[in-house]
This record gives sequence, structure tokens and C-alpha cells, in this order.
Amino acid sequence: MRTLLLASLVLVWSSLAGAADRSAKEILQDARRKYRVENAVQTMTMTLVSRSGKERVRELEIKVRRDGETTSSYTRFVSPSDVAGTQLVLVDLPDQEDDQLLYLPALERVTRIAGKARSGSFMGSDFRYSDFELDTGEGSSHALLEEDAEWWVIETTCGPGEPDPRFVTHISKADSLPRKVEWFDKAGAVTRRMTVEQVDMKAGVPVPTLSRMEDIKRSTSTRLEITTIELGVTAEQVPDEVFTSAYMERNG
Amino acid sequence: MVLALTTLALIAGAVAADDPNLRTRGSLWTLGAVDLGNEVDQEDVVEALSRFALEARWNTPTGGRVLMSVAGEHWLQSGPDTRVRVDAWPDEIRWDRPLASWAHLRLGQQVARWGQLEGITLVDVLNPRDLRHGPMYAPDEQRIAVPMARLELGPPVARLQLYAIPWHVPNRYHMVGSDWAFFPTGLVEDMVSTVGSWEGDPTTAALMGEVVAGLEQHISDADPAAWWGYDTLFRSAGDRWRPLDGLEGAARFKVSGASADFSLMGARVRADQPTVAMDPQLMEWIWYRSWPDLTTFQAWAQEADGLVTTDYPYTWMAGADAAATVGVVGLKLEGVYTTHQALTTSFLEADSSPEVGVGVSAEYQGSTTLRFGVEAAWKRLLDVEAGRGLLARREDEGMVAGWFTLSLFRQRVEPELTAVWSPTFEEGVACANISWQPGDRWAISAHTWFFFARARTPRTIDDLILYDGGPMGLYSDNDAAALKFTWYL
Repeated sequence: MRTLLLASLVLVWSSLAGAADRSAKEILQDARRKYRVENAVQTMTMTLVSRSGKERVRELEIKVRRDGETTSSYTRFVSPSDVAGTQLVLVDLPDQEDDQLLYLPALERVTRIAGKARSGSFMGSDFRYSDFELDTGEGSSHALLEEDAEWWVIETTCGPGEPDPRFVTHISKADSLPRKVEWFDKAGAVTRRMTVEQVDMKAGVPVPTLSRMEDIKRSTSTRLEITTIELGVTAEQVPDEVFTSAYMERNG
Repeated sequence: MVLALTTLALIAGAVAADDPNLRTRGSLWTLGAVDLGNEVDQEDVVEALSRFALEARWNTPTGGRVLMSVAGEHWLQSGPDTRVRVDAWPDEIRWDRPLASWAHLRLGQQVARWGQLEGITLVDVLNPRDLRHGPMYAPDEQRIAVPMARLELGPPVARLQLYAIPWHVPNRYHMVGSDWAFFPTGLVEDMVSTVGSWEGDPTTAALMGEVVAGLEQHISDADPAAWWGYDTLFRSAGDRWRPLDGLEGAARFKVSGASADFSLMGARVRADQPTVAMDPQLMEWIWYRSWPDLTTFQAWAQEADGLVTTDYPYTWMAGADAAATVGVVGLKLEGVYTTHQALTTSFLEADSSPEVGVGVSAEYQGSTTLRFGVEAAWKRLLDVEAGRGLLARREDEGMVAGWFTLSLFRQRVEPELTAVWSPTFEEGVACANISWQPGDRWAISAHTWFFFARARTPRTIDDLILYDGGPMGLYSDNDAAALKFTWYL
């Protein structure tokens, strides 16, 4: 599922047309195989909406690079002043725990985020650090709950040690993009919900340009809006070194 | 000040240019602190400190990056009298760009953070600290940018960094005139007032009695400018080097692995904190409170090389640090060897000794929501004359520190606790604060800091000579509560 969430942020999926007869696992595996994490550079706004409706807006710059099965992303907060300069690097390594590096300007050094720490909130938002990972963890299983002409509804039961026991994903058959994801607690209640509210065609491919993550229990939400995006940039525009602690320190 | 204003003008010009490759940010905070004890009359009861910081980052068309930042403060001390000081200074002003895929150059005034430990740093030797305001400045605000050329060679996973620093920049501190000064409030006044009652040669006593009486009156009437004049005089005594005369060099080799980092570093630098030495003849007279005969006194007065001198001796240092993540815990290690650790003895003589130190840390980094950790360090001076008393130092020293920060309500409320304890001196300091940030533009926070020390703040020269506490005990009368407003620009 984190695959899907990351897709909503920065990635572009290819079509899954013709996949209707397959199992949930096959749909997800095929989706993962087919989606294309192109090299990309984009800017986003992250709007934190409080219970009372008050908003705080944060601007981010994101760079993404794909090398084979490895996907790397670099995020830098550029405003407001109190969080500007915060940087996050995520390197999704196939079959391994992902690397997550965090640079906080106040500490002036790079810190690794490890294991269960990743269940923490991402910069005060309703997203978690773990939401940006691509793997669902060992021992996870998937089941096709529903299917109609427009949607696949897939339930994923997470493996041990994952922050959520299960979640349900609604995938559009039209463009193979996840449009809604709901996380559940052990009692079966929805705890968080992510909704893709707007999809725009960029360079001929559908891009989720507006997404919302809601924390049901806290009645808060976070809106992510892509303001600019360049897809298919050259590897030289997103060199390897961008996704390293050395680069983060230089940009501190 | 001129450089600061020039930097400010450049930042303003850059903003006016409205370049999309330009990013600016800034902050302004005002803190009002109230002394909770007011142990002596001369202490400041209220301090109001305001600080601004502005920064502009520009990505140049040629692939380089420019960072310009400027900071300044307005400081009001209110005790027996009220003093105000305004200051501004250029912070980081640097240009950097890659020279090749394996080489990167950074020139200008900059910060180079070494080491892994957070509260007790052993190898972080390149940037001095601003110690003028104690805990009123956050650790990152205390770090002073210095002129530096830094060349980085090699791939990101294994980098060799070479540093050249053309002249030495010492810690910012006050010798007198502040509750956070090296000579605590009241000490100079006490010393001058007791000189008038010295015994010894009657001719010298009579002659100096008038001088001392005049000096005592002058100190009593001293306006803020005079106090800062004394402060500058004390601090600059012994500062005799010129640019390039104080050249410093350093190198670090850093390996960044998948789950661990490792660095080796070495440097030849001056000490950031000076040795403070009083003229030994004068110290003897102070100790015995006795005037010499006039001939001896006049000969001394002609030849004395300053009453108090400060020096920042050169030292070689070699160090290493490592960090690894085990489960959810970050483990960190630092070790250092210094050839000439600057020391001041109890009788205010300058000294130095080789020193070795090690530090370990374990911390939990729960994203930006929760952080806590503990650190411990041990240092040993390797060549100290037996029985020789040191001011605020011991041959063996241990220290532990801990911190806890939590972010609640989506980073609107953030309580924070930090504490440092020295079992060697049986002293420590604990700071607690809680901030509330209702929006992106401003925040309000409440702070308090308490010192725990067996030794009390020395208020007389005898107290200072006999002082057997550590560096935190010097400020043990400075317990305070503060309220702080921050505006983000």
C-alpha cells in the first residue's frame, strides 16, 4: 500500500487494463511492476488542517530517481521559516528495510530513522514516515474484496511489526491509480483515510495532483497538492549524490 | 557591524530582485528572563534579549550556491542599573559549487559541524561558541561561523574534507559586566574595594590608596559603555595575532554506510576558550593583601605585561566518531586526543596539558515527533602537576547529559527537557521549556533553567582562588524563568 501512497505523491502508474480476472496479489504485483517511477522534480504544498479548520501551509521540493528496482526520493522543506531547511531522504531498497535519513537544521546533522520510529508523524502532518516506504512488510497478504466495472477494492493485511494491522485500497480501473485508502485498527474502525481528489494529465500520464489524508480519530487532515512537476527528467538532473547524507549536509 | 549591515543590504537587494532561484527566511525572538534568586545586589534581576536572523539562499546560473545570513541582538540588563547593548554580525556568508563529480568547494564564513554527540561534544572543534547569554541561546544559535575554505574530495560514501581557516575566531564571551561573564558579577568590585585596605609598605599604600579609591568610585559610577570597555580590554589582552598568523588547518575522512557512519579527523587549531592569566606578582600581592615597597612596585608597573592576559594556544587534535542504528536506537561514539588542552590554574596562571576524551550516546529518534537520548563522556588530562589546582577543571572528569523532546498536536505544542550533570564536580543544570505555536508566523514559549552545584558562584577574588567547582557552578546563581515570543518572517 505504501507503494500506492507514494504513487499519489510523486509517481506515475501505467495502465492495468485487462487485469480484471487476476487475484488481488497479482493486481498489486502487476501494478508495482508496471508503474513507472520516472525521474521527477516537483514542488508541493502540504496543508495541515486542524480540528477547527485552521490551516498551516508548508512548501516542499521533491526529487525522485529510479535505478532499476531502487527508488530514491529527496524532500526539502522550503517554507515556512520554522521548518525550512528540513530534509528527508528515502531510499527504497528491494527486499531490504529502506534507508531514511532526516536532516534537522537545529541539529545541523543527519539522523537515521529506524524501525518502529517510522510510525511517527511526518513533520506534524497526518502522514507517517512509514507511509513513504514502498514495501508492505514481510508476511503481508492481499485479498480482492470487491470488483466492479470501475474499481478494484483490495484488502491488505499487514505483516507483524507494521504500524497498521490492515488497510483497504480502492484502485481505479480507468487509470490504475489508487483513489482511496483506508487504514483500520484492530477493532475494525477506520483510523486514517487518504483520498485522491484531483488527477491531471501531465505529459500524457495521469498524475494525482491533489490528495488528502484524514486522521479520523483526531478530526485533522493534511492536503498535498503538486504545484509543479517535471516528469522524465534526465538522471543528470537528479544525480545519485542528491540522495545521500553528504548532499543533505551541504544543503543544510 | 559594517559587515552585518552590508550583508543585510545584500539580502534586501536579493529579495527585491525577485529571483525564482532565491529563497529567504528569517526570524525574530524576544525573551524576557527573571532571576529567581537575586543572590547578590549587583546581579541582573531582569534580562531582555532579542535576536533576529535573516537568510537568503541563491542558486546561481552556473551551478553554484550562495548563502548569506546575518544576525543581531538587542540586550537589556536590569539590576542595580540598566544597560543596553545592540550588536549585529554577519553569520554564514558562503559560496559553494561542485568542481567535478568528486570535488566540491565551499568558501566563506561557514559552520562545519563535526561529531555525533549532541550535548557533550568532543570533536566539534572548528566553530567557536557564543557563550554570552548562557542557555538563552539555543545550541545552534551558539555556533559561530568562521572564515573557512573547505574542499571535499571523493564520492558521497567516502569523503575527504580539507579545511583551511585563515585566522582564529575565539568563543564570544564576556569577561566582566554580565551574570554570564567569566568574572562573575561583584568579583571585580570586591577586588577593587579590598585593595584599599591592604597592608604593607605605607608609601605604596598611600599612593595606591588614592588610585584605588578613584577606581572604586569610577566602577561605582561606571556607565554601560565603561563596563563594556573593561570587558573588551580584558578579552583583547593577549590577542596579538594577525590574519594568517593564526592559520588553522583540519581534515576529516568520513565514510557513510548503509546503517553506520564513521569519521577520522585531525586538526591544528587554537583553543576556543582562552587561558586567563593574572600577572603572578600581582596575584601574590592580592593573595597576601600586602603592598610591596614603592621601588619594587614601580619596577613592576613599568614591566608588567598587562594585569590579566588571555591566550588561545595552538593544539593538535586527532579524533574519531562513529554512529550506527541498532533497532530503534542510534548508538554514537566519539574519541579525541588533544596535545595542548588550554587550562587556567586556581591562581590564574595559564597552563596546558595533553588530554584524551571519549563519549558515548544512545538516542531514540522517533521522526520529528519524539526524541530522547542520554550521553556520557569522560576526559583525562595526561600531564598535570600533582597538587596543582585548576580552575573549573580536574585531572579526570566525567559528565552525563540527557534530553527529551516531544511534539504534540501536530507540532503546535512542544515540551522539551535537557539536563547535564557532572559527577566530578557534583553540579549540573536542568532546562525545561514548552512552546506553543498556533500558526506558521509566531510562537510563544516558557523556559526555565536551574543550576545545581555544590560550589557557589565566586563573588570575591578569594572565592575564585579557592573555587573548587566546575564550569556550571560559576553560574549557579543564575536560575531563571523566561518567556519568549518568536516571529517567523
